[in-house]
Amino acid sequence: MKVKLQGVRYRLPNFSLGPIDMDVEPGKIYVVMGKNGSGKSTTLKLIHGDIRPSEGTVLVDGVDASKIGFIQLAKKIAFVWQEIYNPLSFTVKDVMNVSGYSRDADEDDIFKALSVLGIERFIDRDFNLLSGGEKRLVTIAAALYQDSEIIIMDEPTNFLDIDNQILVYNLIRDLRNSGKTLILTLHDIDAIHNISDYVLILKDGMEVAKGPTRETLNVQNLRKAFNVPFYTYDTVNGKSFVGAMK
Amino acid sequence: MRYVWISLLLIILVFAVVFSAFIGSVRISPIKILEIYGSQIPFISTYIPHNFTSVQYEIIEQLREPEILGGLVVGASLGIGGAAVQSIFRNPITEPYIIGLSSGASLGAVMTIVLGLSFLGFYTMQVSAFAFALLAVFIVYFFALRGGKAHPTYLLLTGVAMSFFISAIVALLLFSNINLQGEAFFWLLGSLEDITWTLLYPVALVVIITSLVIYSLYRELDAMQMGDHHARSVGVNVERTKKLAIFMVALGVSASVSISGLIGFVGLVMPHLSRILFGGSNKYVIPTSGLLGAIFLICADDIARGLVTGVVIPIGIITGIVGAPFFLYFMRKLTGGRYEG
Repeated sequence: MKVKLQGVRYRLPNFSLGPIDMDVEPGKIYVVMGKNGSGKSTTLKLIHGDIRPSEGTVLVDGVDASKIGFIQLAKKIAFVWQEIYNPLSFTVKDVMNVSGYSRDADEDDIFKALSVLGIERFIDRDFNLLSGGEKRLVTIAAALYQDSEIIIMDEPTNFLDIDNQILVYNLIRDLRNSGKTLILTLHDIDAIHNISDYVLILKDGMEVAKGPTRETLNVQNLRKAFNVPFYTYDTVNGKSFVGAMK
Repeated sequence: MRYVWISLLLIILVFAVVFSAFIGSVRISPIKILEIYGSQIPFISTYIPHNFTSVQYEIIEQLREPEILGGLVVGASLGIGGAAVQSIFRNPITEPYIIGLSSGASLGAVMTIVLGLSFLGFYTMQVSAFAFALLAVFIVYFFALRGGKAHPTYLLLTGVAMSFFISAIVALLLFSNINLQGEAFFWLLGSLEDITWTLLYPVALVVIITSLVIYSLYRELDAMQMGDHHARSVGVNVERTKKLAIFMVALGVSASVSISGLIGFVGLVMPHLSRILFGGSNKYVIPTSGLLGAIFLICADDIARGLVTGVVIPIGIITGIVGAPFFLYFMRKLTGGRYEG
């Protein structure tokens, strides 16, 4: 499944994003990166059709995203939000069931999705009583359970400890290898360098650079986006990026 | 296990309905009341002894039965409406009245009292309360729209503002007609006493239909409890669900309130009690809030009728005084931090 952003702009009274042009090909990992407030999450919401562009179009398999029915869109695209909560009361199973709205609910599939993240023991626990990191894992499992072709994740490793960050990065790679498309926002530049195929770098709502990660993620573009000098060094995992401190 | 508890609630409801007729200012022995029940059941009635008088039959059939079943219908609609509204607003302190229902209904009722309207005869007040309640909800909904979407916060704030505004008009009407305050006062605190079969039948039909529609939306309401954005991302047509659910709540609760007056507490608290007992999914919360609301209101009405001989206390007083401490106890004992987020 392909997604195409054509001259997409989004305007608010005190913020403007775009124009953004982007082609999302199947089976790849895309990362949208930039400073806080640069428009990363807004870009994800535009791709997902949660908000409509002020100008331009978002095409999902050649069809305007705003013309696709809600259930059809949910089958194509799942979204892992930065933070979700339920002000009333839900178990983890209830949260998972919500993500099964567009498909026939299957308890085995819920269990499998939780098992991928090693949290099947949480199934009957109260979602509100989980830690931030545990909630994050549940929301990722819920997106797996939704079983869409594209998974959008807004800062999926927020609140996670190191081992769970690695678990999620490996999962993202596995999903890509199984044919899923992933569109992410991330702040960890080394992780972006290691896992993504393409990057879109934003600053104040404008594109700074975009393209294959190996070519686009360099100290020049990072300096433009973050106003901080960067340098690189080689590690056992490959290239590593560090922002220079005074 | 859940289904065992739900079955238990159903049994309690049946007992509450059956035994509530034993309470009233005219003493009728329980055996005679059971005989009267039996005489109303086709095929069985011929085998039941008829040791009751026609007056006793009239009291049970014409006064107590519609009042008790009225309690069932009104309580169920308030409980179900409360569960739906709390999911739509994602707010544990909301109830059906928050969307302008109560103030609209009270304006409709008080207007007929103060202005002496009687264009629909005996039903004028009920129809007026129903129409004004619906009208108030529509005004709230359309004022809350922003770019074709009714965000829960705008809905909530508009509902609160509209309620204050309409309540001020109600107060002005009552202030200017001080000798009619007694009649209006009784309506504003709620009572099941004046419910008749002719009032109850259409209201029961509306409540049954709206409750079934609301229940059919339980998956959508579950998703909306996680936020409109999330609900949309899993495939829910949020705006359509919101419109339909609010309309159904408005229709069902307006119909109920039109025959009972304003009864607080039930719509706010029963969904919480249900969540504590049966978990958070609306698959269970909606029907059990209805069951709990019905049981609670029938029992509250028993107290209202039976506490002081010859006096019917407004039921709104009982629901608050009896219900609040009971609920506070449950909240303290059972929530286990689940609302702490």
